[in-house]
Amino acid sequence: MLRQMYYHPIHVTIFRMAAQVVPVLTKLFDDYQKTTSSKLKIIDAYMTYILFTGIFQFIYCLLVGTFPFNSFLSGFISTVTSFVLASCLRMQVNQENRSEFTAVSTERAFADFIFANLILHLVVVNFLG
Amino acid sequence: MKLLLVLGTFIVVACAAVDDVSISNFKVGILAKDQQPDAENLKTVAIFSKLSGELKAEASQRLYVSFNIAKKADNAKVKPQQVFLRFVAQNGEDAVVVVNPDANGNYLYDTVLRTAAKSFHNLSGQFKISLIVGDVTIKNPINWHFADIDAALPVAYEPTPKSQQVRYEPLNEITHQFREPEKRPSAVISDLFTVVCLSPLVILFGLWAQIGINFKNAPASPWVPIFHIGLAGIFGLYFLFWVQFDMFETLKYLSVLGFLTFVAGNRVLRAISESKQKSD
Repeated sequence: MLRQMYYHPIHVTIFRMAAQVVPVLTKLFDDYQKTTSSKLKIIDAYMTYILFTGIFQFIYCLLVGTFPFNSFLSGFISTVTSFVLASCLRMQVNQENRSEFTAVSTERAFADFIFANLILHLVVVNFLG
Repeated sequence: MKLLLVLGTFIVVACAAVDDVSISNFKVGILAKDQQPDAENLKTVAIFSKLSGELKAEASQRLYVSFNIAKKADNAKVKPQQVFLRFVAQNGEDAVVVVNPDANGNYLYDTVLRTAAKSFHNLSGQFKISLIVGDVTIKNPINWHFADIDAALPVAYEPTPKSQQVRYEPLNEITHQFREPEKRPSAVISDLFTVVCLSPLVILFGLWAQIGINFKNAPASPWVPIFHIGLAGIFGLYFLFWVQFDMFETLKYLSVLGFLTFVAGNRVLRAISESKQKSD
C-alpha cells in the first residue's frame, strides 16, 4: 500500500486525502446543524461576523498601512475582545457546560456580556481618537 | 569696638614708615619675540621725563619695561601695593595692567603685545603709557607718562553674547509647526475598505435569518423597549463621544442612560428567567 502510494503523483495523493476529508467535514456540519441549539447558532453567527471584520481590518493594515495607528489598534482590539466576550457568553450559555456554571443563569451571562461590552466600547471609542 | 579698629588702622598707617619713593633704573624697549634685552634695544628713561620719539610695535613683538622702586631715604627696595602700567588710547579709553615684582624686588613687564592686547578691549593704534605707583605708606604717589607707543594690535571682532544684546525691533512671530501628516490612502481605497469591513454584517444578518432569529421570547413588559432604547442610546452616546463630546460630558450622560438601562435590563432578564422557571 505504502509503496503504491509512493508511486502515485502528488496531486493524486492530495485528491485522495481531500476525498477522505470532505465527508468528515460534511458530517461535522450536519451534526452541528442538527444538535446545536439555535441560541448557540446565533452566537456563532455573531462570532463569525466579528472574525471576518477583524480579518478585513488586518488585511487593510497589511495592504494600505497602519496610519492612524490608534484607530487601527482600537478597531482590531475591539473585534478581538468582542470575540473573546462572545466566546465567554457561548461557554456560559451552552447547556453542556451547565454543570460548570450552575451559579450563572443564561440571563445573568447575557447581562454580564452586555455590561462588559459597554465598558469595552467606552474604552475603544476613547482610544479611537 | 569698631571705633577701636578704625583708630588702630589709623595708628598703624600713621606709624608705618611714610616715605618718598623714587623710580630708578627705568628701561623700556620693544623686543622681537625671542630677543634678549640688552643695552642696544632698551632705552633708559629718567624719572618724570618722557621718551623721545615714539615706540613702534607690532603684535608679535614684546613690550619690555623694567624698573626698581626704592625709598629716597635709604635706597631700600620697596614693593608698593599698586604698580600699574596704564595704556591710554587716543579716544580716551584706557587699559590698565598690573606689574609684579620678581623675587629680588625688581619690577618687570615683559609681554608679547598680542597677549597683552587681550585685555585692551580691542584698542589699537597710538597709546600713551603711564606708570602708576601708589601705596598707603608712600608720600608721593607717582603717575608718570613715560612714553608713547604706536602698536598695531589685532582687533578681534568679538560679538556681544546673545544674552547681552539689546534688540528693540519685534522678533519674528513664532508659529507652531505642525507635524507633516503622513501619507493617507486615497478616498476610494478607504471607502472601499469601509464597505469591506462592514460587509460581514451581511453575513451576520444572513446567518441569523437562516437560523430563524425571533423576538417571541420577549416578555410583554414596558421595560423591554426601555432596555433596548437605552442600549442603543448608550452606543449612540459613544458615537457622539467619538465625534464631539469629551469624557466628562460622556460620563455625565452615561450615568443617567446607564442607570436606566441597568434597571430596565434587570427587569427584563428577571422576567425571562422567571417565566422560564415556571415553564420548567
